Parts: sequence; structure tokens; C-alpha cells
Amino acid sequence: MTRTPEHTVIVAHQFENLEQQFDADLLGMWLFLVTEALLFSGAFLALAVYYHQYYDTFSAAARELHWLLAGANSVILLTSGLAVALAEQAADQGRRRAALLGLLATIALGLVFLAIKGYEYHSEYQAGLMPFLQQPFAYDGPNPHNAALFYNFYFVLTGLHAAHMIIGLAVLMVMAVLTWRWRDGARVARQVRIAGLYWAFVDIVWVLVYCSLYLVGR
Amino acid sequence: MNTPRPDRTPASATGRFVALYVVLLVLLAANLAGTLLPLGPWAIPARLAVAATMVAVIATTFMRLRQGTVLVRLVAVMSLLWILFLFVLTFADFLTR
Repeated sequence: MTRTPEHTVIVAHQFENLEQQFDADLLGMWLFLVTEALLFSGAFLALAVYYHQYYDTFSAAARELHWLLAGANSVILLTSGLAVALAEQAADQGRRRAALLGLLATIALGLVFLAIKGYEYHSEYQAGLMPFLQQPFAYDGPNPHNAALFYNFYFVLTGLHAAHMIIGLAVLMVMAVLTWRWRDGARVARQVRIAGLYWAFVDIVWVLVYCSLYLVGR
Repeated sequence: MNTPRPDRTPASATGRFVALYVVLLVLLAANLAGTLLPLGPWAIPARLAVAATMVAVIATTFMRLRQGTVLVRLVAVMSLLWILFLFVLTFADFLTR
């Protein structure tokens, strides 16, 4: 490890300097996000194949979803993306309070998103549109068997996204605590930047989930 | 060594973030409004194109891909290439059966 005299910056022995270490950190996060993208791509590919095969049934099933409520959720998530980007910028500039506010706003918006998503799931449960957990499937449109496949895709994709959001929220809460303590501002800025990458990825996945599940069939 | 990074965000970046956030909202509104228009066979390509544009804006701005190192940009482009392989080869098989 190397310590520079002007800052208590710790660089791992395999790196020449802090910049190289941070570049490696960013690259590592991007590589992780690529594996996540491939995970979601498999699900989107299967959805695309079955959408092509059962277009009319899938479109009819998609029209039962709360597309405007999910549209409002899209606005909320995009706003949280802006908030975390501003938090990263504030942390980078050493503005602890602004960074903390940005992170807390992001967490609050993420929780509102999940609450609205929970309401959606609840109303779909009440309407009998959950074709699993031994629930009676009460869809009254054409080809309920194929429509059940659409709802399976819907719950898998939105559930997988929500799971990623919960992980992202946990990471952001840790970042908020680290920002609150502010023991090493430069290090906190680097950590917030990497956490922000994950949250932006969650944003990207939602944009694609919203378009493919809620809008394509309309 | 703790030299400032070339991709360190300047204070003026706030305006750019907010402007591109507004662009994202406009694109989302366009996609929602598109459902009211009789676009026929162009509806799905149009919606997917708008969503792809939103993804590009988020990746280049909020994920700072434009300021990223060559290696990070290469990883991002290569991931797109693999996803393209996944879709093109699967549909090449599926549509020609």
C-alpha cells in the first residue's frame, strides 16, 4: 500500500496510483453490469419470441396493466436517476450536505416507486391476474392460457427489477451513512459514483421493462 | 498521487443533467402520446426506438459513458454486441423454421 503525504489516500499494492485504482473500480462495476444486462436480455428475448408468437393475446393482456400508474413510476425513477447523478457530482466537489440530500432524495423516490409497484401487484392480485402461488387465474380475455404466460413474464421481469431496486436502495443507504460520516471525502465520492452506476442501470432496465410490457401492446 | 481526474464533474454539469432529465421526460411523454396515434406497423419500432434513445441518454449522461475511459466504453459497446448476437441469432433460427 502507498500513502501520499498530503492525503491519507490508501492505494492497493497492485495499482500504480489512485487514478488507476479508481479506473479499475469503475471497470469492475461496468463488467458486473454487463452480466446483469445479459441476465435481463435473456428474459427480454424470451418475451420478444412469445410476443411475436402470440401478439394479439399478449397485447390484450398488456392492456389490463396500470400503464399510466407505471408511467408515473417511470417519472419517479427518472427523477431518482437525476438525484443520484447530482449527489455524485456534489460528493465529487466535496459538498457533503448536498450529496447527502441527493442520496436521501434518491432513496425516498425509490421507496415511493416500490410502494406504487406494490399497489399495482395488490390490485392485480385482487383482479385474479396472478397465474401462480395456487391463485385462480381470472383473466376474461381471449386465450387465457397464453395470457397467463404474459403475466408470468410481467411478474418475473418487474419482480426481478424490484429485487434489483431493493439491492440498490440498500447500497444507497450505506452510501448515505458513509456520506453522513464523511471520514474521507474523496473516497466517499468514488464510492457514491460506483453506487450511482448501479442505480442508473436500474433506471435503464425499468425504461425497457415499461416499454416492452406496458406500451408495446397498446 | 491524487491528481484531479479528467472526468471530474464541473459545477456546470448540473445544468446538463437537468436538461437531459427534461429530455428524458419529453421522450417518455412522446412514447405515452404515441399510444394514442394510429401508427399501424410502425408503432412497435417507434416505441422501441424512443426507449432505446432514453437508454442511450441515461448511459451517456447519468452513467458518464461519454467521459469514461476507452476500456469502459469498449466494455459497454461489446455488451451491446453480445446482446445483438443473442437476439439476431435467436430470431434467425425462430423466424426461418
